[in-house]
Amino acid sequence: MNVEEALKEAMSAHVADVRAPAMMGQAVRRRHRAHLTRFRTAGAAALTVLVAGSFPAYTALTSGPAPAPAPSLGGPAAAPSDPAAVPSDESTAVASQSPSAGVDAGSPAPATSATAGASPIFPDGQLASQPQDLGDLGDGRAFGGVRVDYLPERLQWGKWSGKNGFGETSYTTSWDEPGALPGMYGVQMIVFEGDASKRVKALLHDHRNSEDAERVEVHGAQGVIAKLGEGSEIDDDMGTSTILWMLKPDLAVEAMISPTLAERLGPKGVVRELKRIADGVHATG
Amino acid sequence: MTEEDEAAFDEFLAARSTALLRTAILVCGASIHDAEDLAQGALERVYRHWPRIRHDNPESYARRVVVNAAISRARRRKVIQEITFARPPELEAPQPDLDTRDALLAELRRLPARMRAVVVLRYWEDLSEAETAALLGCSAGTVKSQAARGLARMRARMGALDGTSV
Repeated sequence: MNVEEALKEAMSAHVADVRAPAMMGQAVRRRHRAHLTRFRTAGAAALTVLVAGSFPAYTALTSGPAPAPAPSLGGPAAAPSDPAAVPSDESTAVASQSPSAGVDAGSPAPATSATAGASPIFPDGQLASQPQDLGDLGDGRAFGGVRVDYLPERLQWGKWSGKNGFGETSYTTSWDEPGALPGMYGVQMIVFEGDASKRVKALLHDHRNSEDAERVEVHGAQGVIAKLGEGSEIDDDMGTSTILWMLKPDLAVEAMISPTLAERLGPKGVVRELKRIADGVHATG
Repeated sequence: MTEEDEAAFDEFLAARSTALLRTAILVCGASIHDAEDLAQGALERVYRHWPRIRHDNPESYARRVVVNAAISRARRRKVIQEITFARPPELEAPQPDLDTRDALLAELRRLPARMRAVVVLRYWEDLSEAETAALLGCSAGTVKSQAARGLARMRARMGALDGTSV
């Protein structure tokens, strides 16, 4: 028996007893309803935030130049006991600013307070099941002790984050294109801190000596661009385009561009974008 | 969705969901729970677009979602991490009491996700190189080289077990 036949037989035997659950149809439809519910809930939450945000903005526009103490913001519009309608320090400050500043600064504040400490609500059921180890990261640009100033166009936070998945004190998240399929990503970044960074340091040293990797410098620090496989080995054929560098002596960063995005960018574009991403990463600690 | 659409979807599930789940198990390379999750997720997407795709090879669409989701997950190192911690070290000597079938499956799980997908699609699903390439969004040449490399690893493992080359 040749290896193809042996493999086919092994795979057949492995799944021979597997049957789709009788309730698969129900499970799929339940999942679909959950998807719709989450989508609508997220829409309703966004609307609530928008309405709540419009109150201080409206107040800012209509309450005149004098600082408005809480009672003066009252009247019929402020009567509901909705906490979002009670002016916080921020919204009070907004009320004392110029109208245009009030519109710009007033709207995000309730959104921040509405989501603080709560699990984010996502329109996609798949995303909701992803790890949220670092909580709501807002725009997702600051996590694990770094700030990401540059990302390729259209990418937005993937609304998930992992901690210690790549060794203790490692952190990760991704940025995806709007409407991306579940599980798809545009750019993923991993931050290795403390002991976790030591392993990366050794890896970086090895990869910089490889002919299949491009040595780079990021803000004067040694780095490397290569196509890495799942074990972080260089795999020039099927690996994921990755830049790896030491941001600080005990802080390493790995950023990778998904194969889908890489295909669109082309080889030169991938290298250019990886360098830009790396140049835009700064330590916040 | 019309009643006819619903009925057609149920027929599709009855005919294809087991095959899809089996593919998910092999491609996913992790637990049956993960594979069920992948298969359910794929079928939910099929259901979502059912009226539009029901006459246009929905099985192929579902298979593509499963395979891409498995590869994506692996890239995010979630499933891979579980496999990494669950599997024996890379250089551990083959256990003498491990039969060929188990050894091949263990080797299959060790393959990188995309290579594993190529091997499963080629030798389990019996897809051609062109079909596999279309499904994975790569060239037929890449499928050929990945399949060859995957099989080479299988051969090496079988050879190590038998003490002979296969």
